[in-house]
Amino acid sequence: MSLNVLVVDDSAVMRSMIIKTLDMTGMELGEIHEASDGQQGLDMLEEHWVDLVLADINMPGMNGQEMIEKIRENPHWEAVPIIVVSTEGSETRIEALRQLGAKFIHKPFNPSQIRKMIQDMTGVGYEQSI
Amino acid sequence: MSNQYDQILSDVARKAMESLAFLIEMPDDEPCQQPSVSAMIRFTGPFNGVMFIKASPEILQVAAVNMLGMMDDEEISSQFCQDAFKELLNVICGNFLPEYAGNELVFDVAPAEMLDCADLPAEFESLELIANAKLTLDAGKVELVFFAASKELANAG
Repeated sequence: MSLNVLVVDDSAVMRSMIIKTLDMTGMELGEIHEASDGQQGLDMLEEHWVDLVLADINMPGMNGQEMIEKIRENPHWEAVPIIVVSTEGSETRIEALRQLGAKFIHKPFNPSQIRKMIQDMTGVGYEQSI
Repeated sequence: MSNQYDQILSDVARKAMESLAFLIEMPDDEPCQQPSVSAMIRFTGPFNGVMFIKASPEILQVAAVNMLGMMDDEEISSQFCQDAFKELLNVICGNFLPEYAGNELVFDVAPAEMLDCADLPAEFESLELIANAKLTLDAGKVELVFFAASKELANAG
């Protein structure tokens, strides 16, 4: 199974780093979509089938937390796996994200963290290591 | 009090520069250009503040090349160089803030912005200097300054 991924971060460099990291995991990737804020992320979800969302929190316009809340309110997207990749240091906010079903990876991250979390959330990648 | 946060800021910045941009700390006497490119990032929440960074110009290009995994001779736009620089500041601020404020308070961190001059904008004179750090890296020098409104004032409010 190949994964269609949406990467939402206001930094183009960070989006590129995350996509490069996804490439390095060796997982089979389908379409990769990019958005620079929460609203663009929602627009991408309207237009494309996405298996996994990787999102930052602090972004201009609609931030990542608001975007995730809206994703969970939509019956079409409520089950999509979401990984937050952020510098967020507040346990209060991280717990609120966990309550929305999102997993959290702290920046700076390393590729193995992202690979392990994607495997745990989607099951994709395990078949390659069996 | 300030020295404690100076050390923490220095440690946070060193770790971010190394792990995100593969910029390694060097001896302080290493010859390199003085910091002249600057950016800042504001945060709001229980109390407000700002982190300010000033760096040698070469750092922007080297950081962007390293973060994107490019070859040294590949062309990279100034926009990407600035974006990499701002992302480094974002990561340093995001990791330092809970060290200073604790990990319960919630802050909104605005997008980092480049500054036209290397001097700190006057609007921050009313804030308290909490920490500063200077690093000499293999691509140049970096200075960081963290200002915040008084935590006591925020608690009273």
